[in-house]
Amino acid sequence: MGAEVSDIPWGLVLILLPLMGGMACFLWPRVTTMLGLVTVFGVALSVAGLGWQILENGVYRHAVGGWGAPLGIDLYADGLSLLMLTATALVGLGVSVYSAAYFRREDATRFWPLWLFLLAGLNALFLSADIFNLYVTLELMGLAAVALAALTGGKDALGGAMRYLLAALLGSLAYLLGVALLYHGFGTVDITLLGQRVESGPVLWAALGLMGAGLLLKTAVFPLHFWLPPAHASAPAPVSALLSALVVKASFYILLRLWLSIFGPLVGEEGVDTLLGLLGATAVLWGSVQALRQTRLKLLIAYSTVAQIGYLFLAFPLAAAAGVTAWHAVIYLAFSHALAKAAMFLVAGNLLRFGGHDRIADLDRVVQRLPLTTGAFALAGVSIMGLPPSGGFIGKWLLLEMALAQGRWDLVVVMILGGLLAAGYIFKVLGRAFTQAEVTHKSRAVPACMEWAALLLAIGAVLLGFLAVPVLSVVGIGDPFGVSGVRP
Amino acid sequence: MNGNTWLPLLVIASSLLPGLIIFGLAENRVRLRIALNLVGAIVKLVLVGWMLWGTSQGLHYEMRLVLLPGLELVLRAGPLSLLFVSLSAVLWLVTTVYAIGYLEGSPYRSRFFGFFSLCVTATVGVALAGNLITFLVFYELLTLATYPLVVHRGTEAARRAGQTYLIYTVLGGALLLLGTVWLYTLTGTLEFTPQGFLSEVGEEHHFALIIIFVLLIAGFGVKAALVPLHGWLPQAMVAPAPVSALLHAVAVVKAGAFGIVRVVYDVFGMEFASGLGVTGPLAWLAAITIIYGSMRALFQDDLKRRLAYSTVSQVSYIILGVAIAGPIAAIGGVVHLVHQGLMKITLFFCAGNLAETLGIHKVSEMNGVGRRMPWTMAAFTVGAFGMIGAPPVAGFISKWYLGLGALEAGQGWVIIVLAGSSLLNAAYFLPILHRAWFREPPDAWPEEHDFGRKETALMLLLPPVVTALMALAAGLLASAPFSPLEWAKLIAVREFYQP
Amino acid sequence: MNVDIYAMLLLIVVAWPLLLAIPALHSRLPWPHHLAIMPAVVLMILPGEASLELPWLFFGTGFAIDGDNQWILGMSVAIWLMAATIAKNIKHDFATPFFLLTLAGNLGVILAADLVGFFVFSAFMGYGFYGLLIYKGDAEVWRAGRLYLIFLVLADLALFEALLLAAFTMQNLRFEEVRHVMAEGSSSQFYIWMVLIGFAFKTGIWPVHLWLSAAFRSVSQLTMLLLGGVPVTMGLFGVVRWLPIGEHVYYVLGTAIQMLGVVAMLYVVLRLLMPSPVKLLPAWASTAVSGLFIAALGTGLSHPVVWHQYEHLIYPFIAILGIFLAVFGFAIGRLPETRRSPALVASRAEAFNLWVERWIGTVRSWAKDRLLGFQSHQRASQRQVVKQYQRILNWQKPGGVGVGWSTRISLFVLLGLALAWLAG
Repeated sequence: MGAEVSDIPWGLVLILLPLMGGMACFLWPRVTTMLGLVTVFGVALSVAGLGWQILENGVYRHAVGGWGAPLGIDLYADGLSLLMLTATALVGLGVSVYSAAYFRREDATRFWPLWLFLLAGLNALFLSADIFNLYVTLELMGLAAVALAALTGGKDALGGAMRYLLAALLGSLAYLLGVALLYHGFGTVDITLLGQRVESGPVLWAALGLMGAGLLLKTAVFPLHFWLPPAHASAPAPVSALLSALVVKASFYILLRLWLSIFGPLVGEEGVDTLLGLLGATAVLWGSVQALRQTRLKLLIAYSTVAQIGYLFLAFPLAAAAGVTAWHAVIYLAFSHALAKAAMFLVAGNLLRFGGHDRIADLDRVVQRLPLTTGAFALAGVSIMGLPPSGGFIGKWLLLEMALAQGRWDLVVVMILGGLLAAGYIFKVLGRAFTQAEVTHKSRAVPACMEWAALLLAIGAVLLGFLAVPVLSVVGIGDPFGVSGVRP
Repeated sequence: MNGNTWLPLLVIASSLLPGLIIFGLAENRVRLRIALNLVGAIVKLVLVGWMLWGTSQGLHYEMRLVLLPGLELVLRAGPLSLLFVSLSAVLWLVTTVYAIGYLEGSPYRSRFFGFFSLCVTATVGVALAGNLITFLVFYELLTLATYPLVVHRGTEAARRAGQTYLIYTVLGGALLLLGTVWLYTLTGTLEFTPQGFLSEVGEEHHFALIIIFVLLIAGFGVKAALVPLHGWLPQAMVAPAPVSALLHAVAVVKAGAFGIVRVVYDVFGMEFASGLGVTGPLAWLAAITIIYGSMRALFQDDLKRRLAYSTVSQVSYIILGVAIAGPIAAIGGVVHLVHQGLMKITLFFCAGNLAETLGIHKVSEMNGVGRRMPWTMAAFTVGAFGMIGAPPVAGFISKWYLGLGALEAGQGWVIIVLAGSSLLNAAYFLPILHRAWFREPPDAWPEEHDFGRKETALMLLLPPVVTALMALAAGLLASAPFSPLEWAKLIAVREFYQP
Repeated sequence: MNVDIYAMLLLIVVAWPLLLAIPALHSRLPWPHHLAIMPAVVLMILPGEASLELPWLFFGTGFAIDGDNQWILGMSVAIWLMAATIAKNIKHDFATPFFLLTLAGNLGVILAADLVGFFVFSAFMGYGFYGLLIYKGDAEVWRAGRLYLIFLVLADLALFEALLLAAFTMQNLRFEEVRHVMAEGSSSQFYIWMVLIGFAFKTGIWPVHLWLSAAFRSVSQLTMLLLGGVPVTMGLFGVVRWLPIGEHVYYVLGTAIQMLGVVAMLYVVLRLLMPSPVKLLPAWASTAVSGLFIAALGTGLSHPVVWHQYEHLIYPFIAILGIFLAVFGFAIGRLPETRRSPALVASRAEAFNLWVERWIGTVRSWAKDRLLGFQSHQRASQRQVVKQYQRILNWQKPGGVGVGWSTRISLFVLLGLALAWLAG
């Protein structure tokens, strides 16, 4: 039995299963919700299978169709990929359960295929080992995401989605140009080979500029975040959850991979890391301040995403001296943010459905009647604020520790301020939970599974705070951070 | 390994689990909720009693959970931890009984008792924490669990008080986090160790250590209501009486004071801290807080506000005892942790009873109330005399050890501070007692509720009487085995000044 | 065995009235006041000496009875039996708990074998007595009560400091030890001062006799009886027990105290030349007697030899004094109301008294001004600060309108004292 399980090419399953599921959803719209759920559960199981495989045998490699690296398509998964896949599966599960109740007939037939394609794109992205495949998956993912954002078809949604489309296309295009430059310059698209061949020079710099700009745009780093808040705020709640939790992380993942294998070793010393750190710091402060100023819940959460992405970039200037710890912090922040932010958007969806609006000032009537939802928001907030015990706390602790050890007081101040501002906007919402107000309008019931989906995701983000040791040891498989011998 | 590993965790779980279950209970499941609360409280009490006995026999209770490589969540039941745990466990039981009586028939009780249990869980966690990071975890949890209790009433005033509370505590938490991480980068460990773990740190880092000390003390000082960080405490008075009682006697304020004890003794170590020259300013700060709190208390007509400022003043006795830097003063400070808890909770219970039974909120409305509610006011009297430091109530014992410790450490000025504080305490408590016992009662009370022949509901009357008796006993039987004083001596021998 | 029972009796003597002080108990018993004293009566009748160690009480304390305090016990029992007989007729059952508390405190003070026990029970006695003093509440009585309370708090503070010093110097706080060790200690001067100040407040020794005269002016028969017998004599008793007399020559200190006593007596003589209500006579008597006592004490401090000669007389002396004051007070208290002149009483409202009894208000308004001044910068203009200080100075001036006789004489005598000091 064990041998059979480990023989299955789980990586391939991870890509094909959602693709097929998506197709099936198109073909049988009546049972689309059921099909979608089954597919997502299947994907989650496959991730488990892949994880088992990796734990047993180390790094996973699969040459699709049997051709090797230079010609064919290689699927590659190390600890980092596995972690991202796991995050995707977990968030995907939560959002799917939620969506099963959220979308009605008409919307459901449109939502499920798109979401499954998005899932396929995400999985493929995390399993890719060359920069061109990454481009393809990025494009697939981006298009699916834009379509999802426009799902409800309202004026706001279309406007947001158009902006998003523009950003996504621009980003992909820039990235593609970079890929072309690299391929032209060094004759390969395989990340590992590129890492061995690249040398500093104008080609590299140009490629870095293009790819970096493209990916930063897609990751919505300050000041390229302009498209994110409207798109995330106007999309339906589960879609916002997916966009904020996963899609943004995917482009960040590419950036991280490229930095680790190709660019980091060559240009890390020349101020690029400082620039990234600066952007991150500004994003933290700007995003938090903007979030604090919002009067609508979904916009608040969207700006909070801008801020939280900033944290991820704070690690770059610290990585040179701190090495693997910096990336551990990043991974942890990304993972816990994915869970927490998904939970938050689902909460927003619940509130919106219950009260019909998401004006923070009038939320008190809503919040009190949905204790589970409020609890989910609070727990997710704990992680976002970086309070212990939570995944967010572990990530922030590591970052703070490094910044202090290196005497980077500027970053320390940014992190502490960011935490305080986060507390400010989280409690701006939570403060409404306890005031007494009469119900003045009719409310729609919220199905239990929608409340529980949000709560479980939020609990996951908190529990992550206790799992640092196993998680970080899994991430170390395959030495994705290029520091052999240093294992947590 | 064996039961000794799990016991600390069980102590925490004994309030966490009931709390979580209560969150899920429907509002009208009153009996089940009461049963859960009481069973949890009693189980906790038994477990703590067990650990107390074991520790006095020299057993060790410890549980570790790795959080990050090199960073562990440690729950350890040392003598100092147990002092605080016992206080929390005992007062939790009493306060639960009180809260059941107090909130009878009011809305959102499931929510209230859920957070109430969480609050105690966090307090016990703070007490049992075996290193700074564990302390931090529970300390933040405490902030979060207390906030809903502060704003429980849901009025605009409550919301504003909650906001103030949050601003203070979240800021404090941030400073604490910063200090903790910084300390970790310098030492690589955060384990509470008798006599501190910093003596190895090189000379060049001493300036950084001073700043870390300031950060940590500021972080804890917010909750301990050290002047100028005390602003939230009087405002938090809008909370229901059991919450105020718990807040002032055990949970929040004490967690801050306890943190300062930990920092001075188990992180820096007394000698090292004195060497850095940080204990002197801390002692002065505590002294200023003592006097300032009492001065402000003099002006308050609102009974609960007067008590709140009195807390500001009294909690700094603990800090003063710690900062004087001598074994006897340390005993005084640590034992005051318990004594102040017993006395202050009595006073708040009584204030709650007055408000609930007669609608009295102000000192000026208290004329003759002693004749209407003799038991309540008798308990109040005991608490008030304890605060003044008059024998035989427990406060006398604390003051005695603080004064003696100050003499022993050659810091005579502390005596003057103590005397001044006693004088001020007398000035704001004795007039209340005079009013309550000797003035003629008014024709009608502001808002009287009928309790038949009894002066008030039994659930409301019993807790203050019990805690007042405990405060008396802690003073009278100070030298009996397992008294707070004897336990504090054990702490001083085993943890602070062990050879 | 027999001895053990005898020793346990010591505990019962104190604990029994304390127990009875609970209203639910004494309201169900006949003759509660008398019942409460019974164990003390038994103890007094039994011959011999006994002591009881109570290691669990406070820091470990104990009770003892010996030839010395048997005198005092006898006196107290006599006074309290008298008081109980009066109290039985009082309809105010509200006063009963205070009566019993004070009784317990008094007996505890007498029997206490060490400083801590003495201090603790004197607190019981002091605060309980406050209840007895003012239970018949009118404004005049409250005024007296307030003064009494202020002096009590101050006295307890001073004694507490003395206690701390003693505990700092030595382990065992039994009286016989204290006498030896504190005489040797480096801080004995400070200790003596604290003890003197503390008991001076409690006893109402001149020049801090204010509360005593205020109290005598306005109290009930019961309290008139007890005033002389309880606070005053216990104060004198305490000062003898606490002070390290006869061990060391404190020439300067002793002479100063001697002089103080003489001046106190002089003051009373001068004071009696002024018109004075009859009710105040016991107060003057008490002041004079305590002055005499203080003078004797000063002699003891400066000339230990003399002290040793007459040491055995001191306790009988206090006992007789107590009885005398009690009976005197009681007799005066029985005089018909008309013999008091209310108008005179009102005019006696001495400015300094007023200032002292309003000290809470004084501190409050001063602190309020200061604190508010810090809070709002506008208000803390320089002129205001100056004004505040002026106001404080005004408080220091006793009575802006008319200075009372008492104050004038006090100041005059103090001046004389200072001159004599300089000359000597």
